[in-house]
Amino acid sequence: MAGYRSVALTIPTAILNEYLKASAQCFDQVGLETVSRIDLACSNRYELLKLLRRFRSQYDVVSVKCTNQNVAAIACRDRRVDVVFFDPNNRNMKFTHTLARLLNGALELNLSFLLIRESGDALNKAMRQMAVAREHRVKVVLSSGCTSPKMVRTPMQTKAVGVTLGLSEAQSAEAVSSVPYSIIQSNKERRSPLYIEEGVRLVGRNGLK
Amino acid sequence: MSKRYFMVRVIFEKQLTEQRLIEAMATSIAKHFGEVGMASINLRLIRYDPERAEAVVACEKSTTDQLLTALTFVREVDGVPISLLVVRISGTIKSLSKPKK
Repeated sequence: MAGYRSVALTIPTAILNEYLKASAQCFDQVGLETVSRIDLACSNRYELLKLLRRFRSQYDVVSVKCTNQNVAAIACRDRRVDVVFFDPNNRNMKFTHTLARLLNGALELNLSFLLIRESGDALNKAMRQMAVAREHRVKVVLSSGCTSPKMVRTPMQTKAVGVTLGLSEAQSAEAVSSVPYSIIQSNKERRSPLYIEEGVRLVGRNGLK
Repeated sequence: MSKRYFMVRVIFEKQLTEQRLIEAMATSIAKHFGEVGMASINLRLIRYDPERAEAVVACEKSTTDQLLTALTFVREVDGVPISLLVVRISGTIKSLSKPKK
């Protein structure tokens, strides 16, 4: 109804397979593709690297919540991380120019952080994040980050929030559509059994098609 | 000045009156864009059907994104969660009800 094509679900590892199957059936009925996603929130770099080694291959999308500068630097640099996000309500952490230069993946802005604003300057911090992203031409993903159906908004509305926060019309549209879609597609391809490495794909074997 | 018309789906547990709906929208506009923003958006409720939970609102064409943002941030009315989903935007009221090609 809201106009989406895919839904990325943050699923705990212990119930990944059963939950994914059940929810995929449910979302299939309304024409939505289901994607598994993990949000990593680590206190130090060692923990982050350990979790990345353990979970990268199990999930379609890996995102990291940057809680401190060390974790943020590693998450931005690591190619296994698809998206990084900063809580605008966290006063101690911000998306700096240095991090923007390091970033390999995309910067995510969760609408839920703005809907449930703890501090008055959350919008201002989000605007600053977008200004830095725009300056360094960082890929941006605008997502709902919702925990209940009442927090879902249409892609049109999400795009408008991006424009209001300082992204251009085109950049904001990409942040809602093509950037997240390309992340999902490239990871799906990477997780397929025919994938060897970047640019190399198994097309057939002797006796096999 | 040309206008833009929004078809808004209201997701609310209780029955919402026209007055409360327009108040919620206006409060969000005033909170995020101020009095000047309120004046430039020039919000008007064209019609509201509580049975179908659908409303049609109008604004100035140049302020489409501002109204969309303000409607996005409407979160609760009288402490009850609410969601205003903009399902369609059009330049005329007539084409809002036409099926998509």
